[in-house]
Amino acid sequence: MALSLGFTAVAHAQSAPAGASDCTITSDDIQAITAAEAESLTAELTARKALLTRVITCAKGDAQTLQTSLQNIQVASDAQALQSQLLGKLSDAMNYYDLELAEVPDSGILSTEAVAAQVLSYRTSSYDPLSLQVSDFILWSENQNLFAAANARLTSAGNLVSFLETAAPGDDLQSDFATAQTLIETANEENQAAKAALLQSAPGDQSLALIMQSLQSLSDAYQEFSEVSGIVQTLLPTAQGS
Amino acid sequence: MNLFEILKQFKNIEPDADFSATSRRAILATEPASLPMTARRTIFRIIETGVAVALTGFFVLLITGAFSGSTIEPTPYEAMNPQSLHAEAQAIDMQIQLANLNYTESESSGESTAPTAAGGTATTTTVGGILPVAPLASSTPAAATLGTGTATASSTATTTVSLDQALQALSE
Repeated sequence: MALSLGFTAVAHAQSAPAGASDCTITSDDIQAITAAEAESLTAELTARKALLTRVITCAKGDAQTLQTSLQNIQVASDAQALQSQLLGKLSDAMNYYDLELAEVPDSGILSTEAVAAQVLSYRTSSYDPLSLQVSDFILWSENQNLFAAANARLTSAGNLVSFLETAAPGDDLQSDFATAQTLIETANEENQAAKAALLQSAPGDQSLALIMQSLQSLSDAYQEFSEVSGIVQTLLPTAQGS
Repeated sequence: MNLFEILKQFKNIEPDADFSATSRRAILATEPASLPMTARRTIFRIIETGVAVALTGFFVLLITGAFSGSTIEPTPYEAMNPQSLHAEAQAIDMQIQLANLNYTESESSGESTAPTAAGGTATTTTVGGILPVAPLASSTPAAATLGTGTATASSTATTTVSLDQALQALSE
């Protein structure tokens, strides 16, 4: 397979918050609270407040990074409303984190536990789905250049294949190109379905599944393009080495 | 006299002798037009020849494919250029990897409960937090660490925890 589709850890806007070094929470940070607990209530409270403040600040940083990424993408006019809507939701998330942060200084141990539980609950029920939806939207938007390039290539390759078929008829060339054409049409349909799912604020999993399908179809189409290219190289000596 | 006989007599037709003499004199009296090779004409001829040779060479090279890979490569070949095809395929591959990353995060976004070494349960959630995420349950169960203090720092290696895991630990 010419295109490897393996998973690799790549840098992504969502998982690269500002000040990432400060946001690397370790088991030692949590164990420090246990140690403080053994020392005194005051020490435990101080340790809890420090870690909770740090965690919520990092969570806000995640939202800020995601918002910046969303703001920087270029989208079609019919998707700009969704972009604005998502930007607004991320602003709401940052405001929520600010409100929770404001509660920390005056909290006791029980209150810090309550704040932590509230923030966790908020992230699970609201922020995580929003984060996935924004990530999907950014991913889909970035894909549009790829689809434009693939469709342009399909058109130009179609002209070349038609010419070659007239000059030197061959089954492989035509069938490989037809397969590529079908795959790109499928990819276009899946891409439009993903767009519709995003515009309808469908669950992130659903949008993501459609995006992945469209990309996979596009990748398969390029494999067929590669086959067509190989045949063209043999038919057109002038294309060799290009 | 039939028609063929009349036609055969046409070959005996001759021009008037005076007209022939006048015409001959007029033709012989006319000097051939002289085309002096001026400097301007010479330069024009050289340029004309050079352009013809250059055009001929260009078409010869074009037909033999000598321009393959250059900026003036015929457009139809570019449609199946392996290098540009490969570059676009790689870009798609990169997007697929990003989609896989999103998918992995979405799969792990729901709460998952795993048994801990202490026999209890620890809830882990990983979305939008820090990657990679080391599950607390395997080495430092949050409940045990914060709640009962049964886990010892010296027996466990330092692991990175997600924001949600930290929040889970802080809420107990």
